[in-house]
Amino acid sequence: MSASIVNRYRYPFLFLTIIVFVAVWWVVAKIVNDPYALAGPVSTAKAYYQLFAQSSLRNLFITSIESTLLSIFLGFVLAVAIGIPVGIFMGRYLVVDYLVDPWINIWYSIPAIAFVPLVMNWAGLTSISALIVSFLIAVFSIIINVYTGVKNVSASLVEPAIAFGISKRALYTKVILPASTPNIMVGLRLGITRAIEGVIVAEMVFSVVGLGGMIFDTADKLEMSLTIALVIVISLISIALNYLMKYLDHKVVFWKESSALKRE
Amino acid sequence: MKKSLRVMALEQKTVSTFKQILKIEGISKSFVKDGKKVQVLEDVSFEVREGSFVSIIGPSGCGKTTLLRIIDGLVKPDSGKVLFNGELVTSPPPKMGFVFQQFGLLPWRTVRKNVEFGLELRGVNPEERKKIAERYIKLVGLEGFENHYPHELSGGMQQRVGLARALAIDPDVLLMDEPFASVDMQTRELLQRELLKIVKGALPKTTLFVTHNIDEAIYLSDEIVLMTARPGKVYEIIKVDLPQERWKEDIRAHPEFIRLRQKIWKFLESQIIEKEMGENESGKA
Amino acid sequence: MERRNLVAQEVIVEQRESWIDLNTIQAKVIFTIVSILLFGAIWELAAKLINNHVILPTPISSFKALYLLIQNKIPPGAAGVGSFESMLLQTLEITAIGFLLSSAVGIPIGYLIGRWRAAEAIIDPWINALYAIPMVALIPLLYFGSGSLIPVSVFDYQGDLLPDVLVSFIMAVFTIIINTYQGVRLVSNSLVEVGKAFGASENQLTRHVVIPAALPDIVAGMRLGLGRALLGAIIAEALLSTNGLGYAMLAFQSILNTPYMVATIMVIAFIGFVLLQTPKLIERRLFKWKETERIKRGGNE
Repeated sequence: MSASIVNRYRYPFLFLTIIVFVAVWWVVAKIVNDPYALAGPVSTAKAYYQLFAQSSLRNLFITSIESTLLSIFLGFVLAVAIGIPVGIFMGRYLVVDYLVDPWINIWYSIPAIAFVPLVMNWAGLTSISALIVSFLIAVFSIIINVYTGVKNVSASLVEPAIAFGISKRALYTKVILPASTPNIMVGLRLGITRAIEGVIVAEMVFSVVGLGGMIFDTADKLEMSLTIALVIVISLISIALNYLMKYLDHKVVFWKESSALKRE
Repeated sequence: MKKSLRVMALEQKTVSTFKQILKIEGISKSFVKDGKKVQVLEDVSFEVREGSFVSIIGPSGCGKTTLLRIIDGLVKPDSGKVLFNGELVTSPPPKMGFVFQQFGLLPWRTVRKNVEFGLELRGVNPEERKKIAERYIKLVGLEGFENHYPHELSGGMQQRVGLARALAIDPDVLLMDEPFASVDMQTRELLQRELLKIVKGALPKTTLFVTHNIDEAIYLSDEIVLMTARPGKVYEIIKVDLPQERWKEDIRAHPEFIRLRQKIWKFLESQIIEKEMGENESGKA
Repeated sequence: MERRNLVAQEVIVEQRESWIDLNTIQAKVIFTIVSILLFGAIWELAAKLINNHVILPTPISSFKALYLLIQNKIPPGAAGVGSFESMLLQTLEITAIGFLLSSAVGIPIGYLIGRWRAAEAIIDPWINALYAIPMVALIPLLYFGSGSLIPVSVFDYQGDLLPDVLVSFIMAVFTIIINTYQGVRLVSNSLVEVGKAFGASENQLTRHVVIPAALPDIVAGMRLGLGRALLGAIIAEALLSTNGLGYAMLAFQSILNTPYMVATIMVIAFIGFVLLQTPKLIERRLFKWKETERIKRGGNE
């Protein structure tokens, strides 16, 4: 099958793969034949109906989504609001760099979940805690990327500016900052993913709040069809948010075809 | 300070009505690479008269790019000095324009905003900037592209923007660092011709041009500074005795052109061979 | 020519003459030490201000707890947390097995879908989706599901390590697949063309062109996968298991012994730091040629 054929009919093909996926799922569920281990697409669909029909469940569902989304949004916004300036200052002032750098590397390499108990002690089993965790996890990723962007601005942009007689300050505002926007956008894309993960991890540990909590709770009670239904919901939310960031990336960095996003 | 006989002869021939706008004296520069000191330039001296087009040509790695940057004050030499209009150059002088090989356009700015860049830094007000920029955009033949972005333009067009940007600040001297090296051959010849029509016609400018393309150097210049392989020294300064307004005929077939080309090629060839043999070239001065 | 590879900072540094040469290693070392001391001081101050050793223990009590922890002196009431060695070993074991499994599975899969150029238009959206989905959300599904699936006897054998390993595996495998996929896909077409022009078979192409070219990305994926495997192990232990560092961390928290909790976190942080940084150093040595390209492409992990 040549690439051109696939390309032309890519949406139908994509749809086909989804159908294939669901079919395989159905078959595997039938084989496993244990509703406590794996729920099939049919029971999952029923679970969706439950989520919208049963008022108690629906309320819980809606509250959970609200809580999770709020935590993600606020945690991420905070991470961006703090991460970008810190990254820039680190790039600009070597003193700041040397002082802050060791900590960035250390905090960044701590597995997300290790933050949870600490934050739990501070803000309890609430969505605020989830927010804080999400902030902590996202902010270092953003700082690192912003810093890399600022420090790695190509000389072919800086030299002309200096040749035309630019002050240090103007160099930063007119050249280095705009030139590091691709990296900043990558940082944001990575940041949103981490923010989402942070929130879900925290919520799962708490198990009483948010979608993560609901997922953990239903799985614990072996209500697998509900669990899968909820996992699909958070997946779709996450995919949507990622897509939003990707779109933002292309809009802001309009001069590049793609700010490559490859890693974690 | 040893000077070649040629240089001394040239100096004596210099008519005092032509102002000496640039004087490069005894420039030496070394870098440290992998812990070893590399002497890139050694005791380079020459002069540029007002209104002339001077090319600097030499084998790769002879430091000509570094030399240009030293002249513009972007790099500090180890010893020696550069005098621009009689004053010592320590940082990029406002009246020197520079055109870069990689264009160096700010990708998030339109063509016009890029051309305005130097004016912006000099505090020219927005209306004035716009008018000036548009004038120079027209001069380099990009009228109609003011609101395009660099990534929408071809390499040749981008370099025209670079040229407009450098000219817009009304420099006394135009420095060009292998400006057409990143462009394909046909576009290159086109740009050469258009450059001449500007700096030797519509808007006369003293130009210092670095290249490793022999034809380009001969076609464009009044004088050619030949540099040796690393450490770069001035080997000879050749006067190009070809008619002005060279864009009007097929100058590349001119016998003098061919003679010069052979001469320079012979020199470069010897330099490259010697460099590859790893011997230390002592410039024949 | 020599200047072309310079980065902005080097250009600017040449312009500037500062009164302290901050670019030396000595300066960096001094500042690192100052930074650590500063952090310790702030921590101490905050702890004293809050004056509640459950919420924020002082640095000293935390380090004391760390010291005791390593010597196996577990506080009473820490329900069945086991010895320090056992918890450390379990975490490392799960991480290691999860990582090895995910590499063994992830790299071949990533390679195959990376090579299948024709299907790129279909595969790409799935990869993007895979990348976006928070794998942690799958964990309860996996754990409880597998708990039902796998016979109890197997559970007992490994001291119920298997579900934990599964979690660690899932967390790591997708990262490895995605990075391998990207690495393989981005092998420059011209390189492959050169191989084909010299009559290389598919096998030879794979061995001599594609894999070496994709190797930096594959290795980077493995490095990230290692971190993810650790994350998975800790999460599995914290949520679902009864021993290991993750479990211990929460156990200490539940008896409100925060100094010990912080100590455990420090151990985890240390492991995380080592697992992340050591491969980076090795990578930098091995793959000098890819370094500039990576900066160009963006995306620092």
